[in-house]
Amino acid sequence: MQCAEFESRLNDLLDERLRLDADFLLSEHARCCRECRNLAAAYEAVVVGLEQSRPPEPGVDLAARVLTDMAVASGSCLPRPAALTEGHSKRVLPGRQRLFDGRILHRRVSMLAALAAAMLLAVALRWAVGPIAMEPAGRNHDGLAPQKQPGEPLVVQHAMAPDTVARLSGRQPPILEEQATGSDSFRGLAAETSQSFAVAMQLFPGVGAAPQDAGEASANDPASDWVHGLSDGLKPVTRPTAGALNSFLQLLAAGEKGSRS
Amino acid sequence: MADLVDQFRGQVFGLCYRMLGHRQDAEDVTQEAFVRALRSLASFDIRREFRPWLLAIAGNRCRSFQASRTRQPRQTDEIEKLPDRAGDGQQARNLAEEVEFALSRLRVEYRQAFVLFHEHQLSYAEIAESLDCPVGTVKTWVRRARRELADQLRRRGVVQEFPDAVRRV
Repeated sequence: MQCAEFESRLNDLLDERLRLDADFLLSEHARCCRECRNLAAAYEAVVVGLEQSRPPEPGVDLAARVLTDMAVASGSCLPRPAALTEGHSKRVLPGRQRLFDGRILHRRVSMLAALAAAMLLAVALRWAVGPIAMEPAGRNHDGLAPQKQPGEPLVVQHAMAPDTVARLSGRQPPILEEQATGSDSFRGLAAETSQSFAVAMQLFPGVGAAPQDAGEASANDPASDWVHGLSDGLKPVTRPTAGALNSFLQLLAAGEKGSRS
Repeated sequence: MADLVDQFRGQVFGLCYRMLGHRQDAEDVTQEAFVRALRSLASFDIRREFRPWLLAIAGNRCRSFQASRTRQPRQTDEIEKLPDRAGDGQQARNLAEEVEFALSRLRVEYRQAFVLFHEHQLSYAEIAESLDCPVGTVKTWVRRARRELADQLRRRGVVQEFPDAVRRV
């Protein structure tokens, strides 16, 4: 027997759970070869040492601890209602537990968050749009438009728009072909706007008057009351505002360059 | 259920103790292994042997515990003991301690296969089923474990050798 075979045969013997002296060839080789004899002695020491090494006994309360753990583990899983054990996979929890169930709570919180976001959006939009309706833009106090007497209807002023156009048309720059269409439509829009405004002033004469005039008009005209009733919170158009509006309409009708200013 | 625990607690604890080398850890893992085994008892295939299945669960729990202990290393109570040359009883105890110490230094797979084969007397087929690996692999692990243990015992002078012995290469 060669030394290379010795270890393999030794392992085969141990695999059969046999003692080393059960194999005659192994014993003979170990007697002749010191190295193989030392190796065999070491293997035998391993087996003998493992037999003599006994692990300590576990605690006597191990079974009780296991059973306690089992009870705790089974108690954490709530039994499902008998009606849902067959054919239903959705778990329904009763009463207070259902209130704090994770999925339901999450759904409710999501709904509340969405509602709060919608309310914030509405408030923000109201804040952005509101000042335009509640507070008119800066008023023109520099008297660009001809001053009107109190109670003088603005219709007269708007009736002057076509004349103004005719008067100022001579100062307009030459119109190019491609600009003509846009300018004409702009003039048409301005004329239509002034006509609509004139009709509105005829229907609600008090709107375009000064505050004291508005009071007088409202006393006489029920339509004015109706308008004021609808536009609660809106300020009536004052005289300087009316003048500024007139001058703006004139500029629109004239179609002059720089009318945006 | 308590009878089942009482019947196998020694073997499960023995494996855990060999794998972990610490009594308290072994008890904790034994308890956890029993709880796991009892909870999954409904899925146990009755055509299989119960003991290898239970020891496989215990071995897996030991590996998980060791992995967590590797992430959070703690002070171990392993003390490297040198053998003395006292009487036979003391020599036997020293040999046992040396084997335990050498076992603790083995790779986990080698250790588990070796302990299951030599201490729990499981066959290679049962160990292979427990560890979910081929029988040849288990044989290789057990043989390497024997060789490493023998080498450690020789290096530490536990095995008395001839002074003029020539070391094998």
